[in-house]
Amino acid sequence: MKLSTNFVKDYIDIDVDLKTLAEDMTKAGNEYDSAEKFINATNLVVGEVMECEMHPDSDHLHVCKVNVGKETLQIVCGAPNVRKGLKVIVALPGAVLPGDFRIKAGVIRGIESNGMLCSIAELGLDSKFLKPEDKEGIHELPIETPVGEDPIKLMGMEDGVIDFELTANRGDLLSVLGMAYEIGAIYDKKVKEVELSHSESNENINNNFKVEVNTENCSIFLAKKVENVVIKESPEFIKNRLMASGIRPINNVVDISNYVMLELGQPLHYYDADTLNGMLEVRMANEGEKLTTLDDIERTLSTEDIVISDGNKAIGLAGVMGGLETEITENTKNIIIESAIFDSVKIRKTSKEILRSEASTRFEKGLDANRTYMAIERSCNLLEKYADAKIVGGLVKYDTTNLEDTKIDITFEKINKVLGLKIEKEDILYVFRKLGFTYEVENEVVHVSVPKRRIDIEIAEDLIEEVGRIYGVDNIEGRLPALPLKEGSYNKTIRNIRNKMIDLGLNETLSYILVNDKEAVKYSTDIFEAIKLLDPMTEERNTLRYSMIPSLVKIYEYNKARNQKDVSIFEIGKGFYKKDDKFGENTKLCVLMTGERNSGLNTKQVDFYDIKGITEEILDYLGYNGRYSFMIKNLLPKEFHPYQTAEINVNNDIVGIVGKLHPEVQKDNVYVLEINLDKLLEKKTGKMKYKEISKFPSVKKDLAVIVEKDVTSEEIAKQIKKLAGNLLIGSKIFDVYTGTGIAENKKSIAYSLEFGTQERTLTDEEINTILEKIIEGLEKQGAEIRK
Amino acid sequence: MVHPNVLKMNGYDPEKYTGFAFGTGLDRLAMFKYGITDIRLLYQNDVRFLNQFDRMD
Amino acid sequence: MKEQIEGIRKNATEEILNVKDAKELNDLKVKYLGKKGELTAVLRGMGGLSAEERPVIGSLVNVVRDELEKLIEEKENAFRTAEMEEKLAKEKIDITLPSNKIKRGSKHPLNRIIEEVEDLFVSMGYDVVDGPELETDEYCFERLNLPQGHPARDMQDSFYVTPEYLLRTQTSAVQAHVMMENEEKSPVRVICPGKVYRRDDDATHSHQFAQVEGLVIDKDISLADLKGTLEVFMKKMLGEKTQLRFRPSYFPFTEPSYEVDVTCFKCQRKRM
Repeated sequence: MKLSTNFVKDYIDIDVDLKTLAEDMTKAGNEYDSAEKFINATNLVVGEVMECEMHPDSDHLHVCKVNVGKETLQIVCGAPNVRKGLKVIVALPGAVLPGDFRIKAGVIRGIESNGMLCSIAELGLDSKFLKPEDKEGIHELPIETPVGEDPIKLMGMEDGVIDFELTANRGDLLSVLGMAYEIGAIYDKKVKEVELSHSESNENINNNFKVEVNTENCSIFLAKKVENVVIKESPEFIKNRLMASGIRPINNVVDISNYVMLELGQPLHYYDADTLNGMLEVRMANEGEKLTTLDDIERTLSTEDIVISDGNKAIGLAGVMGGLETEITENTKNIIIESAIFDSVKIRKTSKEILRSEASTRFEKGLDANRTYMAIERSCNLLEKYADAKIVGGLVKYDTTNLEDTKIDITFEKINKVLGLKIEKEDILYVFRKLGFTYEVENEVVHVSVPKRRIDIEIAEDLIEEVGRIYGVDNIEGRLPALPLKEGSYNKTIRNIRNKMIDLGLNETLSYILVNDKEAVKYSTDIFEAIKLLDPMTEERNTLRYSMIPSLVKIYEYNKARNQKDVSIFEIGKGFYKKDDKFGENTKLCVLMTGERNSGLNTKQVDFYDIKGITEEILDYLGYNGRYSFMIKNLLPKEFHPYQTAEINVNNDIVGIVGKLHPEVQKDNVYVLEINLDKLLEKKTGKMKYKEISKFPSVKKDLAVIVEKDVTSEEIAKQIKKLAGNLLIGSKIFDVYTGTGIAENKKSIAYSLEFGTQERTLTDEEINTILEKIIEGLEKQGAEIRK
Repeated sequence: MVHPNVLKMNGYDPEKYTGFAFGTGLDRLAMFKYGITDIRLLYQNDVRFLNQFDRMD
Repeated sequence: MKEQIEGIRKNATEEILNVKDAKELNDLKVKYLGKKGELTAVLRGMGGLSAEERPVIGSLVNVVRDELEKLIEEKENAFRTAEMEEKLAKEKIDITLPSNKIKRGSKHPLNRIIEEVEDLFVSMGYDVVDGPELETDEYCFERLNLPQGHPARDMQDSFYVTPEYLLRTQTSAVQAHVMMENEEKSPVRVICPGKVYRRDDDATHSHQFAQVEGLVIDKDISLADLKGTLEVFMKKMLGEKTQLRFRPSYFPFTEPSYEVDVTCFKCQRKRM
């Protein structure tokens, strides 16, 4: 909301500078964005062009002698309309124009120039307020304008504008009058009466005009008729105040409707009475009903939109924008003034879908019905004065509102208890008086009467806020709540996993959960429905991820594009899904590794066994040692390398996947791991418990087994374990060999087997017996033992 | 201070209990603490950025 | 005989001092002190001496033997040291070459802050709670006094996935969960750090960002308690010199509501 200080000073006597006012309002909870002069220029003066000659060295520049009162200056001017005898706005050397444009004395093509003749645009007026001639050349002041004076003052444009960023509850401040009450509360000043007086004819509008309200979404609807208006330009003060408030002046009648809206906060609509059939109806639109609004756009409406109809068809979008057919034109003579309140929720919905206007913004925040009446009267007052209107007597009225003050009871004690202050009773009452609230004190209770203009105040807590706001809470002494001591809790497991991953050398990332819909269904064979946004900002991010892999792949690609090819990252985050019409989300751990991992002079390309190692480390750390395995599955997500990928099985349930991305998905060797932590962490873990160390030495024996290439080391290890029995206490692979001496389709795996028992030292004989049993067993299954 | 309607709506008696609630953005705290000037750096995950956070605070 | 011993002493000393390597030294040890060595031979030839002479010569032999043994040992040590030195020198390495350190990874700065905030509040008895990021309109708005059509919903333009479900726009959504799920309706002291989402993206706003929400419900909680708590919080995060100013504002779920301006040593004035 842009507040013109000239405008508000009609209603309140204040003598504070612009910045102070803005700061004081901010302290009271009404934050400001900017506080500047309406025309933010210095060193301007009215001048008269005494002489105007062509520049000897230019085909468009003129050399002018300009009388600025105290002296006559030579100024070079390029405007086509500059001529002798013109009264102009002169920016003297030293002037600063908007945009930090500094005027200096100088030489233009060899001719001395001491200042600049200004156009309206150069004074910083928003381009939407400029007339065609303002864009063409310098501004021409009326011929009687006195030389040497301040042109801004003479044009009535000496004003300060504060742009407030208001909170959603303070609809009352979307009016100059509301601002006046607020400023009055801060400085303890009384708000002046609004001038409403006007004369009326003896006729009564009710004799030939009626209003029907056929929806519950309109609580009050007033109509008044004025006749014989003269359409012309508005007086300067109205135009200037509209522009300062950000509204483009059009003609006196339209301007007055906007002026009253700005002043009182009540949006109005003026109809050309001669385009109506003696009635207005408020109803909900029919589905698909068409209406061409003032901006000449045909709108298609729904049953959620409130419309004004002429009894036949929609002629206005209630609370949002009028229709083209019934608008005020240069030829309008007679006017029907509409002042009404429409349901804020409905208006909000319509304006969100169709368009947001100055009017709809006000309806959305809620209005005081007292102002609905006042706005009609004020319109008549101004139309009579500035449009020569004859006001027809009587008022067409539909009103279901309650105009009474809101009554709230509160105790002094409660106010101080909530604020944590000790404000004197009298100081609290003083706040209410400054706000213009009346009250009665009964012992400890205050019965407060809140005028309807403050529709945001409904309950005792709202009054506490008012006291805090106006009295100030700067002097509250902070303290810690006196609460029982206890130890707070947090999710230690997640934090431990994070620290473990970092210890393993991975960089933690933080990625966006929104991905592209095509990405969102990749990297998984799970059955789920991806969740799409109804209204995404970009197609790139239109769906919630299920797997975190797309997020991490994106990060990898971002780094690769910046020539960072060694990426080892992890993240703990959420994946989302829809299944059987229900939404769900899981916490997941995702790792991506590619490029080199360095240690001193030894650099190594990341391979499957690195990421498998990370997987085992985290599972071992969490207590799943001996409870997990890596499973080779036929059905893998097609984004994975079919022969370098495994599913992670914990306690006979798949909790994740680890492997290489398919070369068609990523050209480079990129390895990923993803574990569903919600699923994993509910699995039983082993206990960390001390096991007796054997007093008897164990014995190690090596065994090299030659098998088909397809046979996995794990299968052989399982066989060995089965054949060896419980005297085998450990087995470790120390070499895998293919090549010379081994058949083409075979490989040799060398195991170091450890034998022992808690009871005694094993004899060579015993061990050899077991070894023979192992060898015999393996050979029976087609393996060959390398001697 | 928690709005009495919120207490009521969620099963707490506003006559018996009062409460406070506060909220703040953490991105700006992180940016302030580590001198990060553009919020997008937090989400770009450039490894040259990430690598700088490898020690205790 | 005495002269003979002195002769051995002189020759042996000279030879030992001039010895070149460990092997030569060993040879000399055998030559003079061995079972068939010269000094031993002297002892054997003592049979022909008188009873008075015998102990004199005997002790002289012993003195010379001790002296030579000591000399040999010193020489042996010198050789051993030199040999070791030579061996070690060959093992010299460039200690300035890169180490085989196990490079630790890194913790994301935002999670560092979250952990710091969590630790602070946990130390003050708060529980850290988590809630769904895909939230219902009911919990994100309605239970927070923001019914449908409320103008303050504009403050938080949201990502809806159905008319009912949306990505939470504020961690305040967890407030309602904490209150609803507390069946005894007993006092509450929680914080909820987490991700939130709004339709907003530029240099200062990200559509995804992190917030922390704090909620305390008990008897006699006042604005002074809030101010004191935030003072502890902000001083910890921004430095001891941080000062807070409460500016009245509006949030539908709190009444009265304030925005907090923070002044600290490094920052001018920040809204937190």
